[in-house]
Amino acid sequence: MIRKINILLIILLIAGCLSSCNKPLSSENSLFNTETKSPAIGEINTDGLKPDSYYTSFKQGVTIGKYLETPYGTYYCSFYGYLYYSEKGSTKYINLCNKPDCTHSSKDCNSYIGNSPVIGYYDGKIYYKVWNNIYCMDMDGSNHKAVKTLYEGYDSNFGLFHNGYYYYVITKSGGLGAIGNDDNNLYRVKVDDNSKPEIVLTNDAILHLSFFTIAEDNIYIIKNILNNSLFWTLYSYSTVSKSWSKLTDAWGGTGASYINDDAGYCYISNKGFYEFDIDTKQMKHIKSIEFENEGICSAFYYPDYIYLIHYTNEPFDFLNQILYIYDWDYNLIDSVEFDKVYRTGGFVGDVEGYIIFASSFNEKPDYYIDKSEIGTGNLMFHKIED
Amino acid sequence: MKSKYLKNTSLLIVLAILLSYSIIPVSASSDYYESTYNGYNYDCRSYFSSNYISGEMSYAGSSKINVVLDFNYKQSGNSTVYTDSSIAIPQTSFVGIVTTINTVYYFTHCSYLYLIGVNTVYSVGLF
Repeated sequence: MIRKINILLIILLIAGCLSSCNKPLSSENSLFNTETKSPAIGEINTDGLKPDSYYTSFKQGVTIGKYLETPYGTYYCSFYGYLYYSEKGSTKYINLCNKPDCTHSSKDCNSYIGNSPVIGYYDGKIYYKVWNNIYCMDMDGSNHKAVKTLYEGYDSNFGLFHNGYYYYVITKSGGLGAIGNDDNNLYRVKVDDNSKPEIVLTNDAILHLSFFTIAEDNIYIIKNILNNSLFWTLYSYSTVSKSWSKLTDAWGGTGASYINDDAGYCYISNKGFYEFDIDTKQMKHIKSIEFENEGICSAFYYPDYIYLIHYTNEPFDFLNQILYIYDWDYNLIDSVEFDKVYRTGGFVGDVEGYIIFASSFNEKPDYYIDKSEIGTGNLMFHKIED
Repeated sequence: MKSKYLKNTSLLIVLAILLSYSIIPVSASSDYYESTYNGYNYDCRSYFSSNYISGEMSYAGSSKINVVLDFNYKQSGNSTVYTDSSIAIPQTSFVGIVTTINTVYYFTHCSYLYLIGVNTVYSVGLF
């Protein structure tokens, strides 16, 4: 009898082991790609190369500093801190890790770069900020090096990479809007030399910062207005003349605006698209848009199109989004619903012929739109298969 | 003879229990707004609300301990997701960190990492 029990236990044990091996991976792990590196990683692709400043300048998305288009391909850093690579012309993302047999699911994976990183491209290298340190790596993900420490201590900072600099504000209490932040300076540091950080601007508006953006020699500060979620205040600061100027109190917020050399563009919720003349400080209402369900909208301005994303759920979440695609004359060209999000996800970026989306920003992009389908009546999201 | 079988059976049961622990993945994530975890000689406490997140750890050993908060937050009225991290100054016995944001912003998620020395001994996600 006891022998039979033993045999039964052994069978159960073996069956248990085998069934565990067959268990589907968790949603996090199942998206990790374990294939070996593409031979093109780290090699420049000169097809359709844009001016270098296009790649080195900061681009706003739903996320901040997580997505890069470079002459070598595109790079995406998940909220979990893993870096992914997509070859130019491709929509497929792979972990930037060449470690044999790595499952890309632990912090010893080569593609893991740290807590809440921000990434940037400059002069053939990927730079990334983790805590108060700047690091760099080669474009193939190898040769990680510490470049410089921004300051001593444990304070946090909020910043972005732009044209070879890391611009940042120190948020000692943990983030923008954290109670206890008291540093009203905007700093920058060159990423590829031994120079120390410098103060670019000192102003109390920094303590109420929603976002900042840089165009030519000007820094634009978007400041929160207390108890107002419709408008933001926009300031400009010239790094040449050192002049500080309030431009408007009726600016569209972070994620719904864009400024280039001489003009500003923004979307204001349920009012529509506006253009702003920076010299005259005149705001012009270009196109009225009013949704029955107001929701919240993002507006992203790319060379080919303007993307308006309407999040329809109230209270706000990312689960139901409709992407509206406009040309630069504000004609609506097409629209399509994105209902694949679980928790936090959506628009990632526009690269070459594709618009990239992620169903979760915790993981790699997994949906795309083929831009050649825009306006054909067949616009749809395609799943990026491993 | 019978006692030998009993011994083998006991060993097999122990082996089965040990293997089951090593095979079944343990998820640390949670939907709760508050979480407490009691380890062998340490306790971890996590708290999450829309404007306030905190992590505390107490430890009976002599090594330095620390808490790291990795969090996402948003502003009312727009869709941009900010990510940031806070880290405490390493301490012995007890360490804690709190981040409070003003009402313009709200937290959407926080991952709490609890470290003894450089090793993460517990992690949890709250949202």
